[in-house]
Amino acid sequence: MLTEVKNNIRYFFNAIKISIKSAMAYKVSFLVQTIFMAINNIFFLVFWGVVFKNTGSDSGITFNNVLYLWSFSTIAYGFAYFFFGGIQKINDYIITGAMDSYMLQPKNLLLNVATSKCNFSAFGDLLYGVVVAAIATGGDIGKLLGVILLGMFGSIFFISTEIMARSISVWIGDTKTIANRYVEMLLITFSTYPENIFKTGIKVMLYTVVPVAYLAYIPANLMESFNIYSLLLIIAVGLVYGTAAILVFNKAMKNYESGNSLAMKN
Amino acid sequence: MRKYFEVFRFNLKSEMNFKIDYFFSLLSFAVHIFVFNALWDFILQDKAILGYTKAELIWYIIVGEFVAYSVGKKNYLKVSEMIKSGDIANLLTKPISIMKYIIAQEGTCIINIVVNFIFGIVMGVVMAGSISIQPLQILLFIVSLGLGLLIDIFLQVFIGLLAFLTEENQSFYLVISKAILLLIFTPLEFFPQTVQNILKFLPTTYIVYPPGKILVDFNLQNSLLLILAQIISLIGVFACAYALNRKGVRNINVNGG
Repeated sequence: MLTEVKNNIRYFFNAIKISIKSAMAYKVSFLVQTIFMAINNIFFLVFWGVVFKNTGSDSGITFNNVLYLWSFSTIAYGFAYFFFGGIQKINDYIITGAMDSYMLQPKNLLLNVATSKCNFSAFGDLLYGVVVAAIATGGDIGKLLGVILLGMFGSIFFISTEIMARSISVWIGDTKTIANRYVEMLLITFSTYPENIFKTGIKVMLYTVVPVAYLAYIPANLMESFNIYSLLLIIAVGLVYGTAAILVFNKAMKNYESGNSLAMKN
Repeated sequence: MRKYFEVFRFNLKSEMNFKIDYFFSLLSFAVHIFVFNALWDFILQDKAILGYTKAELIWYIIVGEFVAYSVGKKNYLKVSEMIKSGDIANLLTKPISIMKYIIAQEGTCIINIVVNFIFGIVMGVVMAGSISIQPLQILLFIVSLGLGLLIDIFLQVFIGLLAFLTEENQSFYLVISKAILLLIFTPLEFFPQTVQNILKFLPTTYIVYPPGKILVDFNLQNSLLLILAQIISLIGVFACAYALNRKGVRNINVNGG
């Protein structure tokens, strides 16, 4: 079993190398998408700058807190979709029968599918998140590393949500719209606004059904006052989500029926 | 004209098949308004900011989100894909104008406009309460809204037509859509004067700011000036799209489709 784990880790790092090589093969396109995605995200900080300029910090929300929220959510998003862009294709592979070509390979199926694609523009999000984290931490290297590592761990929530939302295509048909909207409406939208603005009912949802609190709120609070129990909670919830995603995917694959269409792995 | 009406009718029928997309689009619209309602509720409490109360800000954002959701981003993608895939060459062999064909296709956002308009009013009344409006204000608001939608549509057509020049035009859409988004979230007055002076020269400002301003802070003279600015922006954006279309089509004719 340990050999299998080592092989999967080795495969994962090789997949990262291939993702980076494929990005470098189309240097101009990669750079353009990265830079413009980063510029795209800057506009949201401009909005917050405008809000704070006109309202001050009397409301209890600080600009630094907003920076931390943005850094965690964009690092998590960027890491998830740049290195594991294939998770967005799970429903396509199921519907078109292209999953067959992945099933026939002697590699871990989920890892193989997840690393099959690389979303170039997500690197812009990753880079942007690191820059914003550097600003929020005021150059404190320890804190910056903490943000990057927690952000990378936070990607487990994006990855797990995508896997679960798209694997259920096996039972209910193409879930592309549901998965896209769920991630955009709930995970991304709520993770970039401070939790103080929401009332109790919504907060309960964000701490339970939708894991935004563990993706952004608790990590942001950790940066302002460290608490080992909060850190352990994030890790525990992340592992639960990850495990649930793997179980749902495996169950879906047991029920998967090939479409008999000829499809090549690309 | 009849052939373009048939193009419009055909695309409208095919759009009507994707009912679940409308449902999720409305849900997304509702979530954004809900979040902003919570944000301004928390920040402002019962205070006003730069002359805007919380209710006025929510109505302003609803107008902006209505425009953004009604036009969406599919339009630039449709035009872009048509050019990148070479389908445009098929259209060149037919006795139709490419520009009129594209406009007929864009007309399918009429469903989004009607549905989002009704939904927007309901959201506004539920989240922010009703606002008092005069008959002349309603008329100018509708005119301004229509002009804002047209500017957005032609701007997206222009971005799509950039596929004639660059392979990668998603980046332009990202930046332009965020420039529009800035003014959806906050009225022009919230920005420093220097930034306002720059924004007043951008066509993206006249997509959401004028109708929102007319609805929540009506002044006849300002409203007419804003509508005039919208007309000028519309002419400018349309002219750019038309010129780019002519150049692109000429290059295809010269080089082969």
